[in-house]
Amino acid sequence: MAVVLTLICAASGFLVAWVDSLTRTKIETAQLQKVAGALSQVLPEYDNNPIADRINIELGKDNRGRTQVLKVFPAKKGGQVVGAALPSNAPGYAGNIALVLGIGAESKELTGIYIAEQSETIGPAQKALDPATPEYKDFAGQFQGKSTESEIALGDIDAISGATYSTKGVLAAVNKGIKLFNEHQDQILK
Amino acid sequence: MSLTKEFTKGFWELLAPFRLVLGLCPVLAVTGTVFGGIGMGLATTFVLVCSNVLISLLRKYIPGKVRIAAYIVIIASFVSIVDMLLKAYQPDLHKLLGIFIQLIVVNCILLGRAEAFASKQGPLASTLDGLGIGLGFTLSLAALGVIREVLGSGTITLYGKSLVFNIMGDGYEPFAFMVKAPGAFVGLGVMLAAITFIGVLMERKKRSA
Repeated sequence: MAVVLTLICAASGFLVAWVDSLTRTKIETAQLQKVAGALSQVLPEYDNNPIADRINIELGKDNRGRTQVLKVFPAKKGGQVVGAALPSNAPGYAGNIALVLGIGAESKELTGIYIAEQSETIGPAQKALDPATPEYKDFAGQFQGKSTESEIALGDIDAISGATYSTKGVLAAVNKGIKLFNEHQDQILK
Repeated sequence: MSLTKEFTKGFWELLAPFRLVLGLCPVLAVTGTVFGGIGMGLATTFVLVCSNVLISLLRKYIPGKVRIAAYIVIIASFVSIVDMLLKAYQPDLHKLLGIFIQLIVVNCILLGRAEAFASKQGPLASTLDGLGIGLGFTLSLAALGVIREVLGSGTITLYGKSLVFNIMGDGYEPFAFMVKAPGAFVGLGVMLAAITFIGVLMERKKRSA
């Protein structure tokens, strides 16, 4: 009885592990494809492949003991780092808001943000956060040129009318990204 | 029962979830879009067929006392596999279905068919049983998905945003109730009532014939 169950569990374990090894690289490629689309929109002009040149920065361990890694995508021109893009996220009104922000190496200003994932309310929030709409250009575009020397305050940006929590979520994610960039500037810009 | 009957019963007598009232959780959760409904249905069919076949092949070797545990391990393994396959080859669908892919493991249809059928029948019959019930389930999800998505958003969107059928036209004000949770319950209830009614009519016709 116990033998049969053990055998079934062992066989299942092997089967799942085998499929995992088959699909692991495809899954990582699929995830990176998503990032590629965002990068061209948030980084200044570059002539390298930011994904191939990506840097993994260790951020310490989370509460389950696993190492947190931040993936940073440097943009280079003629071998010099001109900017970097990094992912960030923060809770919005209804779930997580994930975005990618680009920061200029020299200017230390935001070169753009791209909202990758959000599940905010249909209506003014979706209109402003969906990259396909004209309202998105106004909302996300206003972050371009903002200095990253310090956090951006809510008063410094035009919030989405009727979607305060969504706005705060985006702002929190941007500021979190700025903070991470500043903390690890040396590693990112070398 | 003849082998063809094993396959076709999944499309009416044992139509899930409207006649075989099992597997209601994904029905409510993913039918906000047709794409999600069909995707979930096909993923469930894959797991159902694989687990039915494997359990049928092993039915003589699994002792009665540990059979539920064994079935769950087998079903869970195939759910993990389909989760990885979707993540690799259909990332948009994977993101849309989210946690409900992994919740296929608690879908009562799977354990129900394992216990009621696959553990007692041969592998060919079990394959057809799984295929029939799984595809019937997929059709049910698609039907409810069409109702909810057309009424609730006015359009049918397939494959992310690439194919959009603007069914109700541009002037349509979407009845957003239908794509949210209460709309799911109402939609499910209406379809359940309709299908039961058709069933009653068919019974009456058979009896008076």
